[in-house]
Amino acid sequence: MARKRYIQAINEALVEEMARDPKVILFGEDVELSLFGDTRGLLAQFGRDRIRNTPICEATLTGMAVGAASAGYRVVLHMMFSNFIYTGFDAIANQMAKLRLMTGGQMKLPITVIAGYGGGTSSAAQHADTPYPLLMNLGGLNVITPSNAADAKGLLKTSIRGDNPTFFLEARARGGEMSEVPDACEPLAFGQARRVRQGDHATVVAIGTMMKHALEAAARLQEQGIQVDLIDPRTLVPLDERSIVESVMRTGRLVVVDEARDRCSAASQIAAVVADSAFPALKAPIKRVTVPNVALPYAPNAERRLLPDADKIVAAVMQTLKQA
Amino acid sequence: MKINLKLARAGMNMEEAVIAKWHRKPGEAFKKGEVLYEVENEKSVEEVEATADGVLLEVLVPEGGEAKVGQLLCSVDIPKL
Amino acid sequence: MTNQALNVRLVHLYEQMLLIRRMEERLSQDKAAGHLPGAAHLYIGQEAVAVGICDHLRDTDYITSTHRGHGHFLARGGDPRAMMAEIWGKGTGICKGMGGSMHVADVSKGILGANGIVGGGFAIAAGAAFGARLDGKSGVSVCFFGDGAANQGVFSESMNMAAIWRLPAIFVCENNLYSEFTPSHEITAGRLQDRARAYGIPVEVVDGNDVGQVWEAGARAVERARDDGGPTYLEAMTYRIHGHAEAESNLLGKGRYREDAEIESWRARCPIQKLKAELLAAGAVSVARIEGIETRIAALVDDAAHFAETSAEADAELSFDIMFSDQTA
Repeated sequence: MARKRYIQAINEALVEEMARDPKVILFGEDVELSLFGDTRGLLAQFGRDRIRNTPICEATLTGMAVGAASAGYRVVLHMMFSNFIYTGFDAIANQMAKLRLMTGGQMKLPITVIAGYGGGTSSAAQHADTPYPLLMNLGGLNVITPSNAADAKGLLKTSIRGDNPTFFLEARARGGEMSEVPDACEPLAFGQARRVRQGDHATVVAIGTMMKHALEAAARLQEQGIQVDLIDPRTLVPLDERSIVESVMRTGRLVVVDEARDRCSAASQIAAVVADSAFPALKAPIKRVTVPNVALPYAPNAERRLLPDADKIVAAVMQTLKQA
Repeated sequence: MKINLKLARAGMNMEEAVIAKWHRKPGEAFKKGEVLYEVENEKSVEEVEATADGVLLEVLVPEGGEAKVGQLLCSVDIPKL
Repeated sequence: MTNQALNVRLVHLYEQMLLIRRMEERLSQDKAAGHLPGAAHLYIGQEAVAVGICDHLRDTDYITSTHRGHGHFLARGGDPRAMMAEIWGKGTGICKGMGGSMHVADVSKGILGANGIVGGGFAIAAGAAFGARLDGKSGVSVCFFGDGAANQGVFSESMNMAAIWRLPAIFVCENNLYSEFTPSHEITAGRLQDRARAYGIPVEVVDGNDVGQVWEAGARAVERARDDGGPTYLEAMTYRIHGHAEAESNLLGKGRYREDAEIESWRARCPIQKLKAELLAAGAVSVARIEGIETRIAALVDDAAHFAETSAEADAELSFDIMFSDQTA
């Protein structure tokens, strides 16, 4: 075990996977110098055939990922800020997510798309989005949202080794966060949630960037004698529905914390699934702590007003407890 | 050779249409290029031409009737395709 | 490249073009009879382009194609039966009925697929070319696209990529004068070939209805790509006799976007009739041999159509199993 930064763990996963498999290639804007730190040092170690800066042309980069994968390479495409997923969305939605089905299973597309998501840094609306609802709904894409360094490393390995198009969404504002990472970090299976805290009073599901706030909220609730079952889904597609439902069957109350905008959020999907599968056990309506349906503002106080935080999570949990 | 003709999907949004008019009765012959029937969609009435010489055998959807895309409209005898 | 190299291929090229033509004519019939569940965009009139280019390709080369992709599929040696069955939506289709006409693909032959997004093939072809270059085995990647697609931003982006990374990519523009139902000249600034020149990419413009011209230009482009000489832009002037899509007159109502005189003038420039006349006039082939080819193709098409008609429907449960590799949806 060693304490590492989130972004460092991601970097290690890339180094290890590229060393392990010569078919892994990585391209994207500014990856050689590494704007986020995740691709630092890769060029020096692996050379320009395997790591390469691209022009700024997201609509073509996403399509090229499909082409290179069709030609037998394991592609890692870095799209920088997750809003740029929209810029390159056609080949994501119409090619990446569809080609395997359209070709009757002929095509294997081992593609990992890395992008940093989330707000809270006054990056303004075009650099602060949480786009996974759109990706979840497309069909043939896996969507990965690691909240901590160890999960990030293990899940990235699985993304790269897997044969399906996978969106690995880095918690942008957590890059510097330090936590324990096992020395021999194994690939982590998709669709396996992690129970971060044990409790019987309410279930809290916190996605990606939201885990930090949820942990703070859980600690504050504990001081009031309220124990929450805190769950990190780790992957949104595939989603570990069973672990979440099992927890709610015990606690009867659910709060889902999601940095996506409320409308059609991942939280909505989780709430619907739980309402369907655990209805008799519910003691209160399911609460979603999400971002309002507006573009994110620039001013720090205005942005803070919209983003989930520990206060809002505590309030939501308390609301579920009010209805006995 | 007896062939069944179905309502073809003209345009990608079409789900159904009304058979506005039959230009032949059962037993009557037609030539390639002649209008066999007319189809009414949300925008207009279109003429459907025969793609080979033949004889109309049976009409399954009468004039004014609605048919779904893929539904059998009639059967024809085409000696040579 | 000598005329001799071309001459020995001509009869084969004739047969390939005829195969495409007869298959497309059959599909036109099938569409009119209501057998095809989805849209069909036929390649009738453009056969010389697919055939002239694809004759230079190995099984390990890549192509991307358009919504008008049956010709490229067949020219690459794709199975006619499996193609027909796919367009009929049957389980025996090349894509198990999952993609239909606009997505016929045979990945084992490097046919990365027809594509329903106009311009969808540019970046995929560029990516495959990148992979081919990394492989170092002189593989090439051909992107077939139309004049309509050339107005998509990805066209310029892909050429930029191909130029800077010296990709073994061949951009083949099938300029058939129309972007769906709009004459391309009304919506296109400048000449398409100049867009390629802007990236320093070599350009050739040929009569797309002359399979010999297409073949020779294709040979030069493929050789350049295999020798790590980078991309080429080839523009083939041609015409789609049947219009954008089958049954389009129903779609357009009484609206017309093409004049009969124009259609007839291009019908008179049929690439297949042209080659047949040339071969017969040169004594390169006998009438009997031509008839033999015609008969053989007719039987092949009949067989493919019968296969499609009598095959079972697609497996409705299949989507769940094949959406992901080794993972259920």
